[in-house]
Amino acid sequence: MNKTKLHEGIALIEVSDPLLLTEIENDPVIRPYLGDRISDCCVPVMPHAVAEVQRRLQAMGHLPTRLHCATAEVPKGDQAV
Amino acid sequence: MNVPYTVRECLQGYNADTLGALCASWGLPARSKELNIRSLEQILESSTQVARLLANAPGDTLRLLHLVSCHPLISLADILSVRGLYTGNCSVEPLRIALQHGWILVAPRGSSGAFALSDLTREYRPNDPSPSLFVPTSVQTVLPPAPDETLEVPRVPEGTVIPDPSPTDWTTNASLEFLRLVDIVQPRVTAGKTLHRADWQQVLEEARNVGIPSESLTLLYGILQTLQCVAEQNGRLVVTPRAEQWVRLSQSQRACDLFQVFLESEDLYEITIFFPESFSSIDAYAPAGTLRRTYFKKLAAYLLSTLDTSTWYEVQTFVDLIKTRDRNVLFLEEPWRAIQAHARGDIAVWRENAWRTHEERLYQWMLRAVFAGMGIIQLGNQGSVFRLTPQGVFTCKGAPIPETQSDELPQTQGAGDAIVVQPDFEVIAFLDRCTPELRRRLDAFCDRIRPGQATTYRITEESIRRGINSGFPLEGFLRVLEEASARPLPANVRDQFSTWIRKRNAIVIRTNCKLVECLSEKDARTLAKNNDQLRLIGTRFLLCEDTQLPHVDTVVSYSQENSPFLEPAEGLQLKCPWEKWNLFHTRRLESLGTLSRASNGDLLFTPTIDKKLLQDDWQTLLDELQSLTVVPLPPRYRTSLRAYAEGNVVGKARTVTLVRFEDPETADAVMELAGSSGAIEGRLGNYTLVVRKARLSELKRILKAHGIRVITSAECWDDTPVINGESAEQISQPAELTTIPASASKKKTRARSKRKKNVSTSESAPAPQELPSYSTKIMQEILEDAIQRRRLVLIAYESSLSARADTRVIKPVMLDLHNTPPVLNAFCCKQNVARQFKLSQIRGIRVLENETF
Repeated sequence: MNKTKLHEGIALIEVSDPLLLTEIENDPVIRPYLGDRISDCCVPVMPHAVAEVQRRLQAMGHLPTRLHCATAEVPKGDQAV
Repeated sequence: MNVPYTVRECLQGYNADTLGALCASWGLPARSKELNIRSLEQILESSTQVARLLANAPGDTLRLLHLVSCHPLISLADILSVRGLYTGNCSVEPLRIALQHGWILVAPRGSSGAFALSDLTREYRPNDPSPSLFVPTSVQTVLPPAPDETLEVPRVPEGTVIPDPSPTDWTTNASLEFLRLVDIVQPRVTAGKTLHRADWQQVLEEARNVGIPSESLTLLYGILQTLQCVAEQNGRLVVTPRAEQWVRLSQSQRACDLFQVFLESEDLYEITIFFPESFSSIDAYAPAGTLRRTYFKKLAAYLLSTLDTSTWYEVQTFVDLIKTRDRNVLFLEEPWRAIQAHARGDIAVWRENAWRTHEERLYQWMLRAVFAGMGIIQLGNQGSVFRLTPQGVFTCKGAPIPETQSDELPQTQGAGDAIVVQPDFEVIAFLDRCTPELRRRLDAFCDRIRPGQATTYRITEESIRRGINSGFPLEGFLRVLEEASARPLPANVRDQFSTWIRKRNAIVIRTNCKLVECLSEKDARTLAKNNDQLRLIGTRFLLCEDTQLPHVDTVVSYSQENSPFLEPAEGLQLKCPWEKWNLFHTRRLESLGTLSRASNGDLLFTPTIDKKLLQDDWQTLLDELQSLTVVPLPPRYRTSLRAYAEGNVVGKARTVTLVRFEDPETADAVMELAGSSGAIEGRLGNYTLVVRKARLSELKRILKAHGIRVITSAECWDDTPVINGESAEQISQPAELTTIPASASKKKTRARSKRKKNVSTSESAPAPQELPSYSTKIMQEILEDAIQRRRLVLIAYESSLSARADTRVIKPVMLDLHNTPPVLNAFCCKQNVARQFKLSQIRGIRVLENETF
């Protein structure tokens, strides 16, 4: 086993459709707060910018769910790969 | 609770008599001060011996020890002023017993002199320096539980009491109402951190509609602020996510939280009401952060906890009990209180009247309004008698959660017909049938259209968004609507809710995640296979869905934003080791250059070297790189970027003859010699002269005439320390040069570099810390002992050149007490030189017992 690294306290956006993530990444307000995609449906967000990203997503007409910790469940089928 | 000083450090601050008294308590023979300290130190650090004696300690001493052990340091004056919390008798006696046995230690007192037991009887004013006390760790670990105190309080026979029909959970319901009002109004917070007057009035008005008086609202505001259920955000008071967690606790737990916060609250709101004239003095004599500040509340709570469960007591009897326990609870016996009240005549009569007018009313209010409102006590016979409720036993005595309430979660729905949901998304709520929680949810998820007894709300996408932001799940709100409505929800409303729920699940923002990254895909797959709690995301990442983390080699924290992360690498490359780079670093760098990953996972970055791009803003690029780099960028980056951008950085080559002298003075003198200007072309730095082409023989001749020899040397050319302005000119490559060996200079340099090396490697650079401070006399004793036993000493020394005390390790050699002022001769490990330290300027001292020299 090689080295492993823990990213602690990171925020993630998970979407059910990769196209949705593309739309989010193309938004000029949200883009500066995002990192590189870690999968087709998942992208890291700067923890301090979560509230701003959530506001922007709502302004774009979405209703994002915000879960505080990684223990909460995501509905089946909506999980990122 | 961590203690800041060792037993020895404290005992060193005691005077000889006190140490003798301590020795006598432990049955030790009285010897010299040093021997006494050593014997006591051994005993007090032995938990077995301490436990043996503690088992026979009086009850009030044990209660005192528990009280003191809750604080890292507590002042003597403060602990003496709250005697009611541990004894009903003289406050000094339990403390004397604890001090004489060393169960409580006095911290070093700086320049205030040695501690004596007679200090206990001194009268301390609020701003007087009073000894600081703490319980050493060896005592804390074996401290037996404090025995319950039994007080003789007359009881009221059961048959004569008619319980009042008061709700037992009024305060928790009121706090839920307060959260709802904050949700609705979102009062503005002014620059002075107070609520905007108009908004606060609106909150008060709304509160009056649901039966909460303004006094209770002010108290609730303070309590909920302390519980972090409400907080300022963008200039407005809002309900925090913490409130959601708190609301979901059981009723008993919430009441207990409110009670504890009420006891710990230091805002003295009650005093402003019941002692309007003395408020400023009480505020000054019970400063924030002391036990005295909250004593009047804690004393009542403590005495409540000594009462029998389910027995009725008269309110007046309980107030008298407080008076008997400590009449001075609110400074009634202090002369300033009588002066402020313009007391005349018999002072005893005045005190009696003052107690009835102020203290008695305060405690009656506290019992009837606060304790009864929180469900701690139940009132009877129209508020004249009371008894502890199961909730009160749980809150005051730490008993298990009352069975009747342990499973009770907050009721979110009201009666089955509390609301009517209409197809046009309007909700009619009958407020008399709605619980505070249901009203709060409606206010969070709906727009209020018409207020009143039958309030009309409307559900819109915007209001749903607002409700989601409050932290309550949308599914939960739908369930609340279904349960509170007598009829099924209209189909179109249900469909719309399904759409919203589907939309919510399309995007999930997870915060505070624990994401494990592997170097290779294979490792990630293996890890996911072996651990059910890890969910594979993409190819190399795993989301940890459990609080138990797998073993990881390194942790990257996201608590700090924009901290530098790059390190200089080969050439113009910069690198970020795999252990350090986070998921946003690549985004920050992609506009500045090209990125690649090394086989070991390190991120390699090469800045864009393009003349056109760099022409105007190479300096900006350099600044950006500097801000991303953990160490100052080496000069090659700057030079290289400038060279690429401007293209005019040229190195010129030429062969010359150089003559180097061992000191700048000789070089200066040679420059001034008659005829030397024809042979010398110029000067390089302070030591070296450049000889004109084919003029070396002429220069040699001139120098020889002045007794200076010139010899050829192949030794390493330059080891001179850099002097201002010289570094750029220095030549570092040895060549076939003519030189005078600078042996002395070399020695000096070697000594300097050795000293430098020692500074960097020695232990003499400890982090700034709080060191015990003593009077000069005690300091002298400690140093003499350290010199005798050859122990290293850590001191905080305030030199005359600096206003800040500098911490350093020294090897003490000799005390010179005949000098004025007395000094310590020592070897400073930080500077690596012998130094003299004035005793009066040593601000803290700690003998490093394990380090000898």
